[in-house]
Amino acid sequence: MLCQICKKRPVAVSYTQVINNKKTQLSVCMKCAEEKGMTNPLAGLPEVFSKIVANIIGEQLLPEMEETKSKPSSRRCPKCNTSLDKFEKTGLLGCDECYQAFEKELGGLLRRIHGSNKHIGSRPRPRRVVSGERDLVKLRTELEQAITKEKYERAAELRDLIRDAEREANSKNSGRSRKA
Amino acid sequence: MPSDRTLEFSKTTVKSLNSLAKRLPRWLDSHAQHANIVISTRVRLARNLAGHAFPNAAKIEDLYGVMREVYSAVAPSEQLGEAMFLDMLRLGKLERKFLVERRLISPPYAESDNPAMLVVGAEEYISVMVNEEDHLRIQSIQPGLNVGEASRLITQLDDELGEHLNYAFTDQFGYLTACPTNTGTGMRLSLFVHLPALAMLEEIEKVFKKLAPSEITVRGFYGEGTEVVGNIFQISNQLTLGRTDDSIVKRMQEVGQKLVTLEDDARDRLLDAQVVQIHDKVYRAVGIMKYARTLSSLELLNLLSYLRLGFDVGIFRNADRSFLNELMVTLQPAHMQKTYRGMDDDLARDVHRAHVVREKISSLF
Repeated sequence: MLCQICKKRPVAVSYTQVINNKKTQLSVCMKCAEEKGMTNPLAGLPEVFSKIVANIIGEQLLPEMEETKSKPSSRRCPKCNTSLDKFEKTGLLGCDECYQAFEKELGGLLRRIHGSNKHIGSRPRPRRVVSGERDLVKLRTELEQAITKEKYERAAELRDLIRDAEREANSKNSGRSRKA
Repeated sequence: MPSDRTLEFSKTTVKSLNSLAKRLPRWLDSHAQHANIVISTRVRLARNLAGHAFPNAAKIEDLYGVMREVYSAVAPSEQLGEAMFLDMLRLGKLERKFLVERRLISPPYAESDNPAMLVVGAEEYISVMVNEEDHLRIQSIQPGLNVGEASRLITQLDDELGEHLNYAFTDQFGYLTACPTNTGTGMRLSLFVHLPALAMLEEIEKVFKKLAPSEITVRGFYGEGTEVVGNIFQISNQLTLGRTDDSIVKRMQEVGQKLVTLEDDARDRLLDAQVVQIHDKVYRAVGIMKYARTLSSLELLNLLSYLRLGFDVGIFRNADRSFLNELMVTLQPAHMQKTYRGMDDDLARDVHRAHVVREKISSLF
């Protein structure tokens, strides 16, 4: 078997990745392994796989893309001009506005990748809504209601906001007030 | 060259890099918690600046613009007070390879011709790649199993930078990243684990299958045959959207604890059932290291894995084992080329690597 990078020398090492019990492999010769920094498993090489990951996404993309692709002109992001076609090939979006331009397609795709398409994690500091004790009380009440109504995603989001607010309130070195 | 491309930091680059080569990164501390099994813990955050095209679609001028914005946000940072700023375009192939081996940059970043900047924090616990696949890839590494500290440090820096930089973020999708596999928290947490006993008992696949509900990705190198090089695996969280940062952190800490328990148990069983075979493997490794005249970096990793196991299960006693990590890092190809003369040739490196290992092992055994 020949090296998948140089396609000349014999394979010395295979880089293997398992996601959801699905195995992908990249087999390379010693020279290419050394050149790509693949001789140390500690180097952590997820990015070597980005193209292959994109292929996996590519397969998953198809159902969403069918409809759009059959139209004569593949849709493009008005800001960076990245087309859906290109995204499907590279797995990479071109700018933040692509998320708006391809919102429908991405909503479905993200759900398929992550099992969800709603962010509930941390927020940039200036965009955390809480500014004072009053908001904190309001948030705690809302959290209780969310739990009672079994709205767990919202509850998790609120819990994070409360935690951030408390941390903010405790930190002495931060004097700036946050916008609501 | 237009003046707006000239950045203040560009003078220091190569000199700074040489100072790195002379010391070991702090994340290799072999005394950290569970460091006998979890070699290190890494957290990475993907962030982009609103209003700038992502690096794959950006014009050269955009990329310089991003670098300037990030530089002015990072320069006053308390946490990155003693950081070095490296202008990637001033670095040659060897320097870039060195940074990959050092785990400070990714292989594609090393190959990119784009204007880019690497920020390396003191002791190499924290670093920031600017203009990788995303505008910022912030990384935090800790020795051993220490998900809490790694994520605390990175959150602190991210909060600090978030005050000055306008991150691309929406309520619906969270942090917007070039690749949708990172959208949401943009957080990828990785554990680098040494699992020789589970590998020898051929239980690795079973263990990873059992951990599959934890939504993890497993990566490893296979050499010739079925052995994973150095018995080292990289375990990462797979999903970033619809999960809170805390739940990812908590889950990966649990996965780490679980792997420590399983590997410890496998080592006990291995010693019960195959004590002769284990001693044989470990001492053969010592023998090769004592007498070999050439050693490739991959072979060395396998030998070090057996030696590491020998220390962990008490075959060797009363010795400082920090040399294992030291050999693993300093005898990588680009590290050798930076440290010794005449190391451009593969064979010359293999010969010298064997020489260094021989001297070290002979002084200990």
